[in-house]
Amino acid sequence: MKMFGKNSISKLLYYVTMAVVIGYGVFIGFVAFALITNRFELTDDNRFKIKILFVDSYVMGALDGKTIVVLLLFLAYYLLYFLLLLRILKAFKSDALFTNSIIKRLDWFTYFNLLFPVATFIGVLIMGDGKLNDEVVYGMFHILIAIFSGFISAIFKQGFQLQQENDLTI
Amino acid sequence: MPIIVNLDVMLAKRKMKSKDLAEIVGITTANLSILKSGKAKAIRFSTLEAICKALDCQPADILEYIEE
Repeated sequence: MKMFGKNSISKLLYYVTMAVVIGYGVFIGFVAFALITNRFELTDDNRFKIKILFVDSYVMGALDGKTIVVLLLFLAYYLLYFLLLLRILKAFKSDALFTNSIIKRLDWFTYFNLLFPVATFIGVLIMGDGKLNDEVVYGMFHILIAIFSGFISAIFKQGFQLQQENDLTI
Repeated sequence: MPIIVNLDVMLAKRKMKSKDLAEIVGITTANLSILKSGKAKAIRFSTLEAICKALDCQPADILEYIEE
């Protein structure tokens, strides 16, 4: 199976990612709606508990502004993350591969991956107890993806240059 | 680029239209226009050969080096 273009793995992944974006968007909408309209259970230790529809699971957290803002920012970050990934896969499934727009999309994805560790580190320093535990693992994971994405972007820049030269060879 | 394409001059000398040359050489008029305007990055030997044959000239009649 081809990696790029029509009837490729990119096309398959594009539709999978689109389903994830839609599902995740609905989930964020549901959580935000429940928090805004106070449709949640309150536990004894003053924590909100939102039951997720169709699954036996809950979204829980301390009932204060800081926690709610961080939770919504975290959810919104991954929605944007998958949207950027969707845009890259959309470009991968098209016929013209070495274009300026795909380079821009890959660059945005790289910067966005770097945003997570930076934002988490600042967030923990300002709002948390100053300890980094799981955040370090997630941060490293995002830095690793950013490095790979940066390399792919650089390769596509070279490809774009070669493509232009080839197109202008008469 | 210090390489100048003098295709217009040769076309005028031979009283030939760009469209006719493109047809004889087997390239599109758009590509011939790119070549004439100096926007082309490279020219294939086969294209150069076909142009020289069509215009009955030497490569040096078409291409010129001018130091910048």
